[in-house]
Amino acid sequence: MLIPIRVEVPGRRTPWANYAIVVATLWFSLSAILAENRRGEILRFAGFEAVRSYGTEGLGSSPSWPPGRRSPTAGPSRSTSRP
Amino acid sequence: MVHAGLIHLVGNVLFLCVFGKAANARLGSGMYLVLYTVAAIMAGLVHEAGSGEPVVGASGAINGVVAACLVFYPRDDIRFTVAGAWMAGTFSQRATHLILWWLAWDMIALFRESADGVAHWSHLGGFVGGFLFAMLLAAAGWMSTEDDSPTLLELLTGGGER
Repeated sequence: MLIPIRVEVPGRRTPWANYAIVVATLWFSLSAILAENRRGEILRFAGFEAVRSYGTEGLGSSPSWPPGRRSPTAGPSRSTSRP
Repeated sequence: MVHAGLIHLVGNVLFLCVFGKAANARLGSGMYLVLYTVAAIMAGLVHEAGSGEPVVGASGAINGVVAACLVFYPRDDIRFTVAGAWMAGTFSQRATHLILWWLAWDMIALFRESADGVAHWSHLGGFVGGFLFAMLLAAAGWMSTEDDSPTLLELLTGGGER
């Protein structure tokens, strides 16, 4: 691993633009990384393929039944049951 | 500017702090931002043409800044640390040698189609974009005259002896 430390130059101008780019890079990247972690999502970059994993919900199970309709395999609805 | 992970981010910010500071000092802030943008656009275009796969990060643009340092400070030294099993320590090396080694690593990885998770096409595009733009600026004389480091263009045209 190569870790640069500094370029030995007699630069006297204050590198404001570089400071701005560094701060913006850190801000946007850390925000994104923290947001991904908060949502439990993972960005994987195996071979540059971005894969979003939405936790365990919905993975490996049958697709969810459309909203407003009941699954035919579900038990009796509470609203239709009589005392 | 968004990065995929902390190690990716830290590596890029380190390169940006070291090489960006030097290039910014030579160009001034306005033209440095133009250089960064040109390198980023070139990195995106070349990556799209060469690979086309999704990519995040700023390493293409940062490679353009490294290339600009090759143009602006070919005879200056870069201090760096190597942390490896075969060699470790802090060394000083002429910018030309170190940056060309850096470019060679990218090219070798690119042509070996190395699956190391690094966007080598983007690196190459950013490097070429930054190099050409910096050479253009050097030819136009758009640089700080505060330091007397000869540019690569001056060395190539025989005008670098000061």
